[in-house]
Amino acid sequence: METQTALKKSCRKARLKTLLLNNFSFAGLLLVVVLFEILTDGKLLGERNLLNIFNNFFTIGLSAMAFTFVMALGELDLSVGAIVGFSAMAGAFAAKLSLWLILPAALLAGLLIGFLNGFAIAHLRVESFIGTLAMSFICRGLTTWLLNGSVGVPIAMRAFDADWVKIVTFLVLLAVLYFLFEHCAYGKHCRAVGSSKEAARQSGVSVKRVRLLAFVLSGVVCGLVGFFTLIRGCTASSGTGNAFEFDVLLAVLFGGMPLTGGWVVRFRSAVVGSVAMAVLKSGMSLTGINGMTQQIVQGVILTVVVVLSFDRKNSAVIK
Amino acid sequence: MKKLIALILTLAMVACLFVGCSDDADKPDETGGKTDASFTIGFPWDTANTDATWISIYESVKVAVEAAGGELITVQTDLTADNLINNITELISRDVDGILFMPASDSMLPTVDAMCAEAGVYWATMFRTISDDDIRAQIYASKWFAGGCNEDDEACAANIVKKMAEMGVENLCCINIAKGDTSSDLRDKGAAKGVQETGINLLNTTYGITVTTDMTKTINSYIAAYPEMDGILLLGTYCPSALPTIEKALADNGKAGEVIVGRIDFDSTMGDYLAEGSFHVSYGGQQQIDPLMSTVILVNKVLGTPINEDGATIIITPYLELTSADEAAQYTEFFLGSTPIYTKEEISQKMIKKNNPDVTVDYIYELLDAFSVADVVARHS
Repeated sequence: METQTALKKSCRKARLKTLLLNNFSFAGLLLVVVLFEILTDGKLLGERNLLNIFNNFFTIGLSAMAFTFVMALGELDLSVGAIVGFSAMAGAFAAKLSLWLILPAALLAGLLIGFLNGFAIAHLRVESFIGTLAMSFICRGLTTWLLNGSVGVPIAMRAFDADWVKIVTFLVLLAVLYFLFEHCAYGKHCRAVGSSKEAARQSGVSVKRVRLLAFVLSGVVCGLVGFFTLIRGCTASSGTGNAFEFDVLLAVLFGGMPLTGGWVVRFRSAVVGSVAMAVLKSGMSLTGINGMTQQIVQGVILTVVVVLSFDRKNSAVIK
Repeated sequence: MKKLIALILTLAMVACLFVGCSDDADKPDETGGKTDASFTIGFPWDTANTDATWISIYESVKVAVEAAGGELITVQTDLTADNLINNITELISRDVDGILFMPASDSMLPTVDAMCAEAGVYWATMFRTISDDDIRAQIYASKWFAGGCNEDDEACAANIVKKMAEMGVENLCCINIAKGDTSSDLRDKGAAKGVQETGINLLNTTYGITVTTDMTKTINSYIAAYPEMDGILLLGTYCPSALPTIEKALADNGKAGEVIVGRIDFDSTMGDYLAEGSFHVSYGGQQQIDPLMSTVILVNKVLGTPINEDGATIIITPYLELTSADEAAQYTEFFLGSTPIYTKEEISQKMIKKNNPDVTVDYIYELLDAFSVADVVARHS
């Protein structure tokens, strides 16, 4: 009898733990929203600030959704910010030929860098941490060298920075990437590879192709982000996309995405984490928290989230 | 269980929305919205940088806003063009009456002007001129651009190169802010002019150093690659503790005092090195006066009493030259100390047009002509 009660208790405890871990990204978002809504006397969710939060969230959210595929593989892409800068530069140069070329040029630049990343990692067996870091340096160097300053695009391009354009773009991409990740074979393959490369290979998954495509996808979406970044400020400079990779990484981790990849990776982590990041940033800014304290807060959150979400069954934290 | 949690979360979310409907919602606060102050000025700045000069820039802006009866709202930025655009959107959404910032490039300015014009917010720049002729014409014609204050970067760079040539430099290496930054480009241009006029040899220029380790590596590389190097000129940098890092690298290579070191922009560590004889000349002093004057230009415009009633108010500040340890000590005490270079009372009485109708562009230049380290010491000691 006692054994049964103890067993029930332990089952309930385990269920509660699983439930908390499964929903901890939502709990984090809720905590951040409630906390800053109170601290800012209701200004956080005011109409104008909501648009502001959306603007902060938009680019991080886009990249985070594509980043999910890379994270599911158990890999990292540290070249995200550099690809944004490089794509913005490509778009700015293309604008000199025709304004219609800005978007294709930015997407193509993102695709190219993403392909190079994917090729190096999938075919040349370069560790993603090192390969994408090296690519980040190459892209930053090329951007600085080719721009030789900054290049602007006509201010008329700001028409594409309209809220409705961004909302539609985001929703379309959200639907496509969600479907791809949760309901298509490719999404499952990414998680299978992240869980065990060897098992996935023996099950007939083309591991190299899956890994290559994830980086290509991340690159293309970064190209799109580069386009929106370019038309928002109508300028591309060596600082464009600076430290953006950390915003994206922080967002997905804040959403509870484990660094170890595999089947525990959930698409919603990218969206919830990006919203939480944008709310956190806006909240800290509205409450007048200075930059130094903001960094400390973000660092503490990152540590707590990684401790909570880290799958200790796997040994490697960063591959 | 899941349904219960979803219900609790939804209820909590809805409940917090009512916070905005409380009586306290319009209460004056320290951070945003309408307050007891008559107006608010938004200021994107890197508040994570604890360098004494960066803090003094913030303090100069703050004192000038408060002297005019306003309140300063600061948002954290990394000073890149895309981040600044986001900062400006945020400040507009917080209903500020004016925005002051340091532009990352000329090409971002039409966007800022369009955003501010749409929101009916005045804006001003500090530290940076507009080099592009078309953009300058467009911005100066804008009703929403209050103006700005900047130093003559090109002339300053040319002059400091000439000064270093007079000190005996024949082979020079430079360090500058990342290319694309308006000041960086102008200082480059000025340095090239100085090099051409003096005939000294410009061996190399490194751009965009932001961390001390890179600064050390750069100096070590210069020493290894150019044994003939007898001068290092720091044209500009965002690297904290740049001068101590350069001095340490030179000392480690037994070159301290042997290589003539100069820099544009004063810092708090110059005094010790000037006394030791390992640092030789600095042109600067504008880090405090530029933001202060830029703020004065903006607040006067916001208050409806612009300094220049015919258009944007553009002020060019002169550089101060500093070559002795005593002057450096005075600079540290009176420019970077707790009292700004002009006190709230001085600004209010002398520079705010509603209090002093004599404020004109010429009047501001008269104040600037008298401005020096000795002037600040005399007023505040």
